[in-house]
Amino acid sequence: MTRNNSTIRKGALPRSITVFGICVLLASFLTGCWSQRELSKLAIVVGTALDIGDQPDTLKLTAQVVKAAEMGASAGSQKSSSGGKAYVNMSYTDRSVLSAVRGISHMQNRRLYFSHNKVLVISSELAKLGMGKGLDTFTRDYESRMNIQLLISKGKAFKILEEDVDLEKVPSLHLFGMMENQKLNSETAVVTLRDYNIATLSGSPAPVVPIVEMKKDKVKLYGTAVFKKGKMIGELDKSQTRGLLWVTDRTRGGALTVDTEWGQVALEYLHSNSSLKPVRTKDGAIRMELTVNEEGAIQSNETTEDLSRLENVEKLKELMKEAIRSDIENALSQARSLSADVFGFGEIIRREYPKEWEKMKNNWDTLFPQIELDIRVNVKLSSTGGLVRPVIPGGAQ
Amino acid sequence: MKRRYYSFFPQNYKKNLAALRATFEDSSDLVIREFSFGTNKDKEVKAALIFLDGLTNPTIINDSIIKPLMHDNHLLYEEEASDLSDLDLIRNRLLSVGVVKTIYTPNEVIEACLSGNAILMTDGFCQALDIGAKGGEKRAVSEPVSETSVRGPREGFTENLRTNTAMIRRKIKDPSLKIRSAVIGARTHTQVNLLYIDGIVDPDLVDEVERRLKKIDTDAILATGYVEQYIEDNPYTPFPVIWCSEKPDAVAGKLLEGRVAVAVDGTPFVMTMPMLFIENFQTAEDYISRSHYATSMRILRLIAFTISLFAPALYIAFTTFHQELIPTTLLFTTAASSEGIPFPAPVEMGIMMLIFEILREAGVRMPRPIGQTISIVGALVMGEAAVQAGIVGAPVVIVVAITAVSSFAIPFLMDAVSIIRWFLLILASTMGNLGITVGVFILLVHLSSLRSFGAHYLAPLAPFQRRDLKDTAVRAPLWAMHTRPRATNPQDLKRLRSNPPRNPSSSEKATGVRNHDKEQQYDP
Repeated sequence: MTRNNSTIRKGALPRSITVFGICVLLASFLTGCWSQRELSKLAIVVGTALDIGDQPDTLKLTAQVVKAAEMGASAGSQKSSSGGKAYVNMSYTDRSVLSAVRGISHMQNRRLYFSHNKVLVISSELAKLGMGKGLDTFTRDYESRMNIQLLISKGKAFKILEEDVDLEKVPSLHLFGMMENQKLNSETAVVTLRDYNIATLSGSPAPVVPIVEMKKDKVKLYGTAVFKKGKMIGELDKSQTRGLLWVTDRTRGGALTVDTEWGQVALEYLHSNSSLKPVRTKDGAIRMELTVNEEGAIQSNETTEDLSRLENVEKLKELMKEAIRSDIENALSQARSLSADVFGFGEIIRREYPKEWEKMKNNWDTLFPQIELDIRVNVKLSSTGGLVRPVIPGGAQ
Repeated sequence: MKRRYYSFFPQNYKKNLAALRATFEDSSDLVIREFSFGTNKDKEVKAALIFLDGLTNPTIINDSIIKPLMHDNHLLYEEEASDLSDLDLIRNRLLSVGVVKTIYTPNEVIEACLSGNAILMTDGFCQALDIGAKGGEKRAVSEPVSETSVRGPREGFTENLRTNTAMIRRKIKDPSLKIRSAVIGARTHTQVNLLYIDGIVDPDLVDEVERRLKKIDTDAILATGYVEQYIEDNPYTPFPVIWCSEKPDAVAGKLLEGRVAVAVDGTPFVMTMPMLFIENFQTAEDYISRSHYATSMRILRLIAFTISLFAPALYIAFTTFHQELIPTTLLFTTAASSEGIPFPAPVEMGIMMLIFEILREAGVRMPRPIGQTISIVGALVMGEAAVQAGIVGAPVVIVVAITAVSSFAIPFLMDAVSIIRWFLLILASTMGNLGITVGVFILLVHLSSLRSFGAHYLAPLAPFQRRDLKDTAVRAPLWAMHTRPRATNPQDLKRLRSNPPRNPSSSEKATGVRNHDKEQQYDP
């Protein structure tokens, strides 16, 4: 055991400690608390909207700022709610996003704080002109996050942020929650800023962004916007969007109502996955092979037929297969007519056949519509739900 | 400093007494009882019994010293009784007291007197008899105040050194429990005992402790803490590097781990050394309760330590530098409560922490009945009203409250933590999480540089000692802890080899029967 420290020290602090202490003390003054910001000096932005400005070559930025005192009122804070709106929308028109943000600071006593920005709504007019301006700033800035939900609005974007909300207090938070809720029906391509950037930066695919529209002060999801070279070139409707999700393996549940010979039956998607594979044919052309595996269940049976009978199950499976196939074909034909590779075929070909891709990539726009897609759908109906026979029995018993 | 004494006047009894009186001038508690004894009138011996009233036991003085001398001459053989001029005779045949020493110098007379003994001086001798008659009022053994126990022993040390060492001796009935004695303090003459178990403890450690004790040159030692400050390795660290306890069972446990204990007369606390950082999180109760529970409590204490150290700093760093790390909804509530607060967040936190420290200090120092008033004023007025008046935000009160409660879960580190917390708060409010990281590194460097009597403070974590981890965050079952902690460098590393208890139904039946027979054999 070493006992080199055994002597009892006496007297004043060792010189080294004093010097070190002074240095630390002085250094802490040098920092000057830089990048410190008080919570009460921040305007927390939860949603942003971009529109075309009224002057040429300008855009109008609308930031939705939360009134924290109103938000906290329900959390037992002492300050009573005045019953007003829990948010303020601040707009400014300028040549760029950044200068618009700076512009708002001319009118406000608080600094806009974008770290908790949840949604970015871009009007379809602006999207048709090109998205580059807005998105670059939101991607490049340190404060803003990549998991913002991207939305395209039919009509003015700032109107979307003036939605009349029921369950939430702030429209942006409602929109954000709504997008998270979309896995229930698999009819919307949920796209974050990050997804959009990955799609554009990887070169080949045409990014998609969901579209919202205002109907009687309420926001409603509507379809999917298709982009090419940063500009919106077309739309996919609900069925086509579903098809897109099947191909890109993003279906996570949802419901399907089929018309049978006995009446309407609702089926539920339980588990699904799909795989997309490029295959080279004998003549050297590349085809895509899509396999969709779907496991479903009967969710509601509005007929009097006993659907637990095997031949009926087979019929339902056929109908389900048909519905999935038609969605995919729908989406494919729309993508071909827009000549936009929304499925990311190009990226898959590049991974699998890089040499061929080198030859194809330059005229991909003309090659894409000619790519054949083989669709194979495997459907399993694993359950009839909590009931075997219909509630109102009858039919072929 | 040395006390100046007169020297004995050989065989001059009167002069000696006068000198003694002069030394104790103006000490009204000094009693010099002069009397004479002997069977023959012409051979009567003059004697004086000298003691300090209050330090001695009157029963011993009356019944065991004065009575036999004056009345019980018949106990002696006739030929002896005729001449009582032999001190050895008095000592061997008359005094019915356990501890009797012959002393030769006036210094010894004074020291014996001051430590509560009675001195018998007889005319015509240059020796005196130092008779153990210690007594006087002392506090009874009671339940310790600072450490309570649910299943463990309830007795706690008292202010009396001998009582304390006896309590330890009662736990460890082994002659190899050694108790060395020293007297420190030129004026207080405080008895300091050094306890260790020979054969377990590292002899170098004992020598080192003794050497440091001997080095103490002061006139007053009034409590354990005095000695602690004189002998600790790192006088400038906020962390305790010498462990102390009010419970004999806890100290006995430390002795059995190869540590040295130092008991100081006048304090109901006994120190043990070397101390490891992890001892801050260990309690005597840990070894009594089941190991799962003890382990979870250890982990809980570690969490409490982390919270009480970092909670205010982290809150400030998050709310003033890293708002993006706060979940959105929580940010809204936090922002709502900081709305309209006149101070910047660090100042707000500082105010609340200061109020808490004042309340704590007031609660400790105040007499019990007033303490309650303070807690009411503190809880209601300071907490609730400060929020309502808009001076501090509710989250700040919550953070300070959780910090306070957590620090009570680690009583040993409470002092250290309450200082370091401020240091981290300043770092966090100037540099955010970067500052906290810097603070953590400074702390780690400091902790790993600490030594306690040669042992590394962070052992067994740094230097890493895998086999000693059984008694850190995890408290292994007692039968699994085969060895003593290596950090104390014990001579006898192995505790007794033991095996996990077995379910008797799973072992052979015959074994059970055999065991039963054995038990009966031992029965007397």
